[in-house]
Amino acid sequence: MALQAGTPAPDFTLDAHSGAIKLSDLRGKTVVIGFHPASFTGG
Amino acid sequence: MRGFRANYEKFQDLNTEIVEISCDPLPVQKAWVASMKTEGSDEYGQVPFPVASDFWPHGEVTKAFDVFNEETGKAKRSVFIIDGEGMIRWSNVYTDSIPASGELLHEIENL
Repeated sequence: MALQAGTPAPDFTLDAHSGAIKLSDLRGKTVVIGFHPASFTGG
Repeated sequence: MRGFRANYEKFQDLNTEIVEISCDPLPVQKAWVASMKTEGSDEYGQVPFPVASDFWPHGEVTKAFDVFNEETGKAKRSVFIIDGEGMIRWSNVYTDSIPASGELLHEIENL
């Protein structure tokens, strides 16, 4: 069961193609996180 | 993903950032980004938002959001909308493709 609305998002730091990304650095903005099974699939 | 790219400016207009995550190693994602072509352009490698690797420790962030598929070792296709305070405001898991960006933009407008 995915985390539901009303739950604080777990903070994370990950390496991205454009450099490191930290969720809490984006405070003040709305963030859409999309999880994908594999990079080379659509959607 | 293509929908996110095509509508990136609309998300930005709503002060919204996009982060894509999979459990692939970063070099695979870089190769994928490099293979992407912008519609109407011959340029490769145009993905305007971070495509992040949750490869090691494998699936750690994916597990924290509870969308890790233990059988395949991959993320379940899913979307979370997080507000400026770091609170999850909307989430959904999909068996097929993710929804059209319009649906997500609508949800964001109504936060």
